[in-house]
Amino acid sequence: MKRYRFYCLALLMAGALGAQAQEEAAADTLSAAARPANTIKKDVKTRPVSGRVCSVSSGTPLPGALVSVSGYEGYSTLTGEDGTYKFEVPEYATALQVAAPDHNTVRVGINKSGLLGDVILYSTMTRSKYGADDNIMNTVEADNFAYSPSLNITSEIGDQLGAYVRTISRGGTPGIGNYMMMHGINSLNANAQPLVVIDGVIVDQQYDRSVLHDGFYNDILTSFNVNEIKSVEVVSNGTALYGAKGANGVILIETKRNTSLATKIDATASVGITLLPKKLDMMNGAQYKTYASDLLQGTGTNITNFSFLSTDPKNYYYNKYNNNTDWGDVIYDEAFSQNYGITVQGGDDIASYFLALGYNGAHSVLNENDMNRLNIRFNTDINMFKRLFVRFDASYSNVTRNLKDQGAPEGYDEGTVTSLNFLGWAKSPMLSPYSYAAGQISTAAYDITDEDYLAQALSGMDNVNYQLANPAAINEYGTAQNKNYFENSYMNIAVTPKWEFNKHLYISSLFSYTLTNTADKYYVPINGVPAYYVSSLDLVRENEIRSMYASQNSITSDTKLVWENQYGAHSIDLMGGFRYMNDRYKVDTQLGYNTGSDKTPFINNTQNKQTTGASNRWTSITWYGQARYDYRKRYFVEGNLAVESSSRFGKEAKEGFKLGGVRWGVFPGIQAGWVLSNESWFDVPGVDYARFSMGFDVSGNDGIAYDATRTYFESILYQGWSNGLVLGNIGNTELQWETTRRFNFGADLNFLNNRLNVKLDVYKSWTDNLLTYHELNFLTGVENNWVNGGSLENKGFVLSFNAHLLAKRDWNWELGASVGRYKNKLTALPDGQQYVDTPVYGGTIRSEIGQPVNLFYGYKTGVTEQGTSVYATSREAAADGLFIKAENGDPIYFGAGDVKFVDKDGNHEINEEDMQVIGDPNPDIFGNIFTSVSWKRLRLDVNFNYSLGNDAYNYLRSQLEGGSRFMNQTVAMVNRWSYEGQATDMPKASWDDPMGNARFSDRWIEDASYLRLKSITLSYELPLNNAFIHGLTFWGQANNVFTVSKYLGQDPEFSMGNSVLEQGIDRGLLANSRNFMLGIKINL
Amino acid sequence: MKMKLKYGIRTGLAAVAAAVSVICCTDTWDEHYGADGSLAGSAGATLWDNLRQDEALRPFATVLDSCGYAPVLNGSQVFSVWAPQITEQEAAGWIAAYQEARAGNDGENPALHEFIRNHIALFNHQVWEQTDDTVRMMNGKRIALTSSSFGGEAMLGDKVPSSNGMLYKVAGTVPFYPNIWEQVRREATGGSDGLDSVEAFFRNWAYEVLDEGASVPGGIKDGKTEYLDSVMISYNTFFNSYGRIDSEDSLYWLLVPTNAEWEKIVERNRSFFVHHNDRLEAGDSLQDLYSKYMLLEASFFNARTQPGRNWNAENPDSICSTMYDARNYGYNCFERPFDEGGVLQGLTPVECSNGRLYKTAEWNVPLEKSSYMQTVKIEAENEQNWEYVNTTTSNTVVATRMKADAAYAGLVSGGEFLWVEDNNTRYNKRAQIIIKLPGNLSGCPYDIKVVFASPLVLGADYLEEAMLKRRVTASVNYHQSVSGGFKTTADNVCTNEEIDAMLMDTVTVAEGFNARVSGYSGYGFPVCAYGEEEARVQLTLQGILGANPPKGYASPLLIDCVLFVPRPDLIEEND
Repeated sequence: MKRYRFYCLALLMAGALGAQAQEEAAADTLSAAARPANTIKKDVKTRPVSGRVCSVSSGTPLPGALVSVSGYEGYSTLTGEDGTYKFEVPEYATALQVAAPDHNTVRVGINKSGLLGDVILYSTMTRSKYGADDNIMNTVEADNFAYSPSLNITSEIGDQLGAYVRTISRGGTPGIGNYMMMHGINSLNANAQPLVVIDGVIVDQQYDRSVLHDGFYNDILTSFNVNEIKSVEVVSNGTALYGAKGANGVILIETKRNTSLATKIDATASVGITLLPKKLDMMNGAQYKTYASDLLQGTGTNITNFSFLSTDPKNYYYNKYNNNTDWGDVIYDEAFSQNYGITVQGGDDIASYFLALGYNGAHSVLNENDMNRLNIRFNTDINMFKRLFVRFDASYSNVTRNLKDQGAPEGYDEGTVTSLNFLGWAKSPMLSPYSYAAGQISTAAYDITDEDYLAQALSGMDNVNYQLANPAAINEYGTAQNKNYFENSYMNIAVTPKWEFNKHLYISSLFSYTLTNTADKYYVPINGVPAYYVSSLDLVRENEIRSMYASQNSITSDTKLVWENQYGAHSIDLMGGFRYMNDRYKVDTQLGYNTGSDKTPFINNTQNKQTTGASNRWTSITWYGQARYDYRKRYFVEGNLAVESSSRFGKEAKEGFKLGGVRWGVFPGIQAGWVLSNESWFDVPGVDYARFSMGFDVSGNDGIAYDATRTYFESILYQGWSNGLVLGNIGNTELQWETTRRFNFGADLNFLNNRLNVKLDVYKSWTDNLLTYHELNFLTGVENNWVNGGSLENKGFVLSFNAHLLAKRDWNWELGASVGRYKNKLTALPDGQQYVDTPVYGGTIRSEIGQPVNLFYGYKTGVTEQGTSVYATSREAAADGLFIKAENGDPIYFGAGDVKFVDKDGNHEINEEDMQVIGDPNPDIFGNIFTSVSWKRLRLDVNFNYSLGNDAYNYLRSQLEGGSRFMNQTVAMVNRWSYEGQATDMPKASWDDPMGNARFSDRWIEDASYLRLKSITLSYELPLNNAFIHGLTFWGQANNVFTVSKYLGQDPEFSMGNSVLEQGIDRGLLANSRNFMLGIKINL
Repeated sequence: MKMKLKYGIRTGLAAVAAAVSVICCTDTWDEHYGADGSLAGSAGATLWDNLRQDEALRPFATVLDSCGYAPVLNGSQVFSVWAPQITEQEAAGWIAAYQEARAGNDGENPALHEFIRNHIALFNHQVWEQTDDTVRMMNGKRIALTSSSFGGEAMLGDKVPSSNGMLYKVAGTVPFYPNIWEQVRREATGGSDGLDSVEAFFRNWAYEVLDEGASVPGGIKDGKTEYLDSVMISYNTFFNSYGRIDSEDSLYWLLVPTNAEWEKIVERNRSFFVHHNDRLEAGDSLQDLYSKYMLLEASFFNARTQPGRNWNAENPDSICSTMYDARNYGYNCFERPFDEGGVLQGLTPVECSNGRLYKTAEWNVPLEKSSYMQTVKIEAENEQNWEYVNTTTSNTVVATRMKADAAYAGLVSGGEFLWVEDNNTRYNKRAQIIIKLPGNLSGCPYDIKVVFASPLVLGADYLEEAMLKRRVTASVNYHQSVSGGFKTTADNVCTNEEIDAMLMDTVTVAEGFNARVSGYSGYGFPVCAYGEEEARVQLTLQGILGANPPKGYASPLLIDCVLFVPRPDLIEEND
């Protein structure tokens, strides 16, 4: 009976493994995945191998485990009841692969004797330490998104792949995604984020496109439902295959396909709540009044009685100006989110399908910034004829949002502040959001009048936007589908016919059409928003309305011929292909001022109308080839070559070759690997697997501005009235791709019966032909144009480990971590420049030869006699004699209460010559830490991520502690200098900051290191044996549980833009906050 | 194995703990933002609290409390307070003064304006060793501040930083330094030497009106808007027009007569502004107004805007009033003011916070420098300035507005003149016209001059016409009394005065004219028309009588303009 049960189990195992093999075969053919099964060759010399398989869970020998030859089909056996096995394997076989239900697959090298030690299998409740194949490219993969509440896959990439992809959250707006980078910073001005390929289709991430709402980026990846994604593979090496697009690394995303012949229906539902983000400590109403009163001193007013400062309760305005409003309460609310999805998959030998429907509704904690998404995906695999297979995939996604501006504005001259969350900080707490009439504050109607408490004192100041809007009124009067509303729809149809000439040779051709439509409507209401000065018009306007409509059509055709075969110990794979991509992006934007009424948000009757637009079309063609060879699964070598031309390349580009009237770039790469543990002589106790690999790739970055190679005129609105054409660019026909050469070394080691896995990836890269600005002579009428010039280097490593700390029958505990480090260095610049300065949000980002490309370059504060950075006494300030120069050249001396800046050149004048490097946004190390504990079917996953040693420019704080505008300040400003002898680091408040105390200095540079408990997930699979319900899983998750950091902002993790020069700058976009989710998954 | 595992776990936990400790520092947050944003010590207490802590300042605190300033200094607005050490008696005195004037304007309440607000300044003012500055106090005064003294009073002890400003202690009360208007008010002490008359006159121009835009309207009751918050604007229209001697923004000199002199000058002026009774009761008011208003017209001098270059305040060549108009340079500007007969001769100024107050018992402002004594120029060609003589033949007289040739336009006032001729061919043919002379003063002799245009200004074609002389006979009519109308018969002032038509000939038809009306023995005209639109004096000009003028003469009169010149000097000569 026992024997019978054993054979039944073995039969089931074989079926399960067959399904697994089918799943692997569906993986991308570019990766080292499954090969066609070899016919067992009878004439192959064999030798016996034997050993025993044990389950660490039960601590006993494991019967029924499938033991097969790794890398070669046709040689396998099952373990007996005592867990032992013995079978003949080819002499060239070097490793076995052991698999069993509910256990992770393990590989073991074959030694000379063929007498192998015990193989320990671990529960699938822990992560597998072996991939499907020997991974000489050092790719890493994430495929566990079962409980993900993420609206964007980049969050999961960050959580699960830690140091392999440095992901930086763009903030707490639902689905806004993450900034990503791999292997350091590989570009200065072009895109430096990795290429994303979804189901073989390169996705244009629109990194260089902008939308109307400040602080928002339309991440195309938000169009993809995480629950539809099967796996994410990070390709750091071997990127030559992606030609001029691979220099920043590649992320391969696979969506789910059918894996079962039986119909399977999975339904998921989850709901959650997101708590409010961390609050900054702001002044209360009384403190703000004192601050404002202080600030009035610099306005030159002679008024002695201000309504807002009256202490007389009989004063009509007393109630109006004696509130203590926490404006955060007005604009923030705990947010509810809900996610529903259903997938149906099934089919037969002829056709199989995977259908997914998903809906996500996510409120934002920032009111009226909600997101809704509808996803439909239909992936099919059809066996048309005997040798013709067709994949037909279609997907559609629609994302809609109520949207408002976010973050601190870069300036205050081009309009009034409309950023909700910034107004939440800056709006005076003494005011109420509700209207004031008859001496009473309403409890129902928002205040829609212009903020007027400064009208007495500042009435003479023309063209100064000192009034702030009521954020509640912005939401009340600015929320509607024809006001502030965003919509992005993404549709993709992909057809991939594949013809198998024989079992070794096939040709496949992917044709994909993608349509991405983006519409953004932007509206500044009249009610509750003060009239504001617009410097570009030199006019005061009442409100404005904008609209944008963009459409991108992308066509991809990718045809490849693949041949694969094995000759005994030799495996050879050859592939050649041709990829054609054509994109067209059209965008129209309109702007008009003064709509007349909030009930008529129409642009047709506005004033100062402006219409702009663009129509870009570009094409790239890539010929690519790949050759792989391995001997006995010990020695691997892989060569890649891509030859690419793009309409963005200049026709006279210096590198590459010219053919057919266009310039072609050549991108070769080679990778080699050695599986040391597959050597017969390798028998090191405690080391179960050892692989080393190294390689060299040349890849490019074609992120050249669309029209950089062309000379063109562009239209302008002269003085706000007349249309005209001016020279817009002087094209550089020699412009070409950036070229990155990267050397890598990798290791993959398993120790202690596979309890411990260590992976290492070390790299050094050199990027040449950097796309940089070239300053043009003023006679040209154009400030600069693009050239290739300059070089940079990156070196670094990624180290990860994963350990099974506890493996028992019911208990499993796993701990892992990853550490990434990169060191970036600019090595050359064009035109003999030593550095390039880029102004960003009041700061200067310096890229200097010998240094990283994105350093903060500003003023350093000195140390006074009191040990502070602010002069406590006039005497000390006078003794130092530091000054700035007025416009007429007269010195204006720093005094008590002013910041003491370091006079680098010792001439006492504080000017640009005294600036120096004050911070580096690049971390020393970054990565993640995770641990999983499971008890039976109950599982707890805990994920941390961290970043150490990175500096941040806290621009938001510079606005909230600048002490120069009538905006609420943090309570730190209560301690501002206000009397002789006061020892403090907060300078005096002074209107318009005549001494530049709030200038870009190390006052705003902070250590933004952090350790974050990113997620805790508790899940339970309910054991069911029901005819209708096959599985039921409950889970609960907490995200962003806590963050440990010295950082003085809301959240030390932020990314305000897609440029490398914008990283590390915190402009106060909506911060991430705690989120709690509850979910259920039902398998029908 | 277990040991290794434990060691591994411990190591891992230790690493995590180390990483956390490296970057964990909630103290950083608290240190920066503070537990509640409050300040320590006195800097965390308000000015009021700190002031009460000092025993020596208790009397001052009592005054502040009694005068409603405790909540102000206990609020959020930032002030600098130089608290004087005063006695309880002094404090009681100020409190009494406050109570006495409480019902009035705060700005005239001495306890508030001259004491409390004289020791409190808006904003945060700091001192150090080299401080040598002035501070603008809440009463608008600028008071000298050094590292050790304030307004001359020594600063004592340590300064006390407070949450809403700075508290300094000074040895005693800082003297109040009045501005000119405040000094005028101070000197309104009655008696012949007082300035009550001037003060009362100035005060009459003070207004307080509702600023509807700034006020908050409530409902409408009985057809009138009720305001929830009434914002009143206080201003003095006289000061606004003549000089803001009530503010500290500029530097003025003010010349005002004592009560006795005021009475005397006003009485004299009254004779110039005798209005006709058809002004109804306004006539008296106008007479009173003008006689005072015009007295002070030249009393305001802005020391910062004198037209003379390198103007020397100690010994000026001239001094021009704020009403000085360079286009009428003959008026409101006085040469050598400190010299003999000068307007400021022998006067000792009272130095004020915004200038000087000159008080005089002898009003030396000459009448001829007064703008109301200006010559009135009447352009004859303007239709509103003339009318036909009402006779049976008047309909044959034609007055034509003529434009001078461009080449001679500069010779003719306004470039135009009036050509008057009679188309009648009978014996009584005579070019005649009545010119209205407006704005006359009463009680002042006048010269009346007529400028006759030469036909040559029309061009060389008129040479023959120009060679013919003209004759003019003139008579003046006027309102003969405050209740009567024009005289039945005008006073003839000249007969057949010859006019040389080859040139622009100015003929004085009357010199030092005084009315010839029974019952009136004064100078000039019995009724004035100053400030009125209607003319109360008419000048009739007549040419040669008859259809055939003597040889070498012509009948038409070519009138450019009439100059109506007051002659106050004749009054003085006769006085």
